[in-house]
Amino acid sequence: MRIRFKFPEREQDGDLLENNLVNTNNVVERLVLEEKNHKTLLDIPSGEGAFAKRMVEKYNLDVYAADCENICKFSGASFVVADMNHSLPYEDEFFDGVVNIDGIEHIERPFDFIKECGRIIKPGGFFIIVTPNISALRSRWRWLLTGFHNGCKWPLDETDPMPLHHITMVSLPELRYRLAINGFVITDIETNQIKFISWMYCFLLPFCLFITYIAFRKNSPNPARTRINKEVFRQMFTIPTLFGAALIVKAKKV
Amino acid sequence: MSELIEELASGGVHDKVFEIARKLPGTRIFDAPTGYGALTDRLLSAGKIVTAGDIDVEQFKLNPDRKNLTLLRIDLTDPKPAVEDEGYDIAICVEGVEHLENQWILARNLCRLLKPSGYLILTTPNIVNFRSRLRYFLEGRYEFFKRPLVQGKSIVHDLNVYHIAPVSYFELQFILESSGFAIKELYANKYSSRNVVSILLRPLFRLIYAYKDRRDKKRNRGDHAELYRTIMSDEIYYGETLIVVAQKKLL
Repeated sequence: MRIRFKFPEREQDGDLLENNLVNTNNVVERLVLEEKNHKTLLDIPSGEGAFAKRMVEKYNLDVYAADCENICKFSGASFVVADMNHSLPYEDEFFDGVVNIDGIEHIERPFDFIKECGRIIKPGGFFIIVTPNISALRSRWRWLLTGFHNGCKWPLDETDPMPLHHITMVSLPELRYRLAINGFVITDIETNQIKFISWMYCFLLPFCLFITYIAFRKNSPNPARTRINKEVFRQMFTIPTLFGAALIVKAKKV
Repeated sequence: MSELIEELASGGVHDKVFEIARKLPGTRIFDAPTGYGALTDRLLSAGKIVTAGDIDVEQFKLNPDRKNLTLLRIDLTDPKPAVEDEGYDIAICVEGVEHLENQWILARNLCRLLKPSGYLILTTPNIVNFRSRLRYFLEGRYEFFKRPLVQGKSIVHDLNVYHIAPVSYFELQFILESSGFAIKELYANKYSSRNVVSILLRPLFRLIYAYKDRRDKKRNRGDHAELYRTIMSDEIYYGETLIVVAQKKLL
C-alpha cells in the first residue's frame, strides 16, 4: 500500500517550486519584514530555495538555506546540507531570524529542533514556524469523527517511510509550550488562507467557546497557570487558529 | 511489598502489564521508567531478573541490592544509553512515552536492548478514545493533556510530571513498526469512555469508517479496513490507557 500525497496548491516563484500551500511565502515575507532586525536569515528546510531567492532578490538579505538533501536551485544563498533532527552547523546567536516553512511536522525530534533554533537565534530575534493547522475547527471536527487530523488524514505507511510523511502533527498549545521552554514567546499567529469550507464550521464555535471557557476557568490553581490559561485561550480563539489552513506562528526569543 | 509502593500509573495498568509480562517467554526484563519501583517489585517477586531504569533513581523505593535487581540511571531519549544490546527478553515502558521529547529514539533504544523476537510492553494514555476525541474537538486539548504546561519549572520536573507528547495509536504504531517492532496485541486498563453517548454513537462511527474505507480504496489510498476495525475496537474506542504488546522483528 502506498500513500499518495497531493500538493494541489503549490506556487511557482520563477522557476522554483514553493513546497507549501498558497500564499504562505507572502505571509512569512510580511512577518519577516515587520522585524526591525532581519538582515541575517536562515531558511530551513529550504527545498528548492524559492523563499530564500525571494528574500535575497527582493530585499538583498543575507540568507542562509539548509535542507536534509541538496535540491536547492538558487545559488544566491549560502546552502548547507543539515538535518533538523540533529545539531545545526551554525554558531550560537548567529541569526536575526529563522524561518521554518512546512518542516516541523516532518521531523522526529521537534523539541530538539526548537532548542537548536533557540541556540542559533540572537536574543530578540524571531522564529517563524509554518505547520498544518490541527487546532482549526475543521481539523478538530475531523479528529472527532475519524481520529485523524487535517494534514494527515490517512494512516502513514511504515513499509515505505519518506520525508514527506507528516509524522509530528502539533497543536497550537503544544507548540506554544515547546517554544516557551526554549525561551520563545509567541507574538503573532497568522494563516496562509481561509478556505470557504472552513467557514462552514463556524456554527460549532459557540459550543467550543463555551466548553473551553469553562474548562480553562476550572484549571487555575496558581497565578502562573491562570496567566497561561488566558494566553492559550486567547490564542485558540483567533480567526487564523480557528479557520486557517496552515498555522503560521511567529515567536520572539526573549 | 508492592502494596506499600505507590503505582505511578493509571488504575489497573500495572495489573494488566504484570499479567502480560508473566505469560511472555523469558526472564530477563528491562523496566523503565521504573518510578517508585512498584511494578519492578512485582516482577522480582515473580522470579524475574529485572533491570530497572529511570532518569531520576532517587525516587526508587526498593532496596537496590535486592537479588536479581539492577538499578540504572538512564535517559531513554539518549541516542546511546549505557544498556546492554540484545540483553533482554522483555522491555517494559509504562507511562513513559508521553513524558519524553523523543519517542523515536526511545523506540529504537527499546528495540536495540531486546533480544531477537523479544517483546515490548508499552503503555500510554489513549488520546483516540471517544472522550479524548470529544475533548479535542471542544477544547483543542486531548484527554490526559488537559493541564496547561508551565514553562517556569525545571526540565526534570517537566519530564516527571507533565504529559508533553500526546501519541495516538496510529502514530505509535507507525513509530514502533518503523523502529523494528511488529504490534501483536492491544489492551486497555479500563474502558473509561464507555457511556450512553459513546455507545449510542458507535454505529455512526462505524458508518463513517466504512465510508472512509470505501473512499480510500476508490482513490487508491490503500486498504485500511483492518486499521479502521482496530480503531473501533473496545480498546481504542473506550480504553483509557493503551497497553501495546509488540515483538521485535527478525532482520
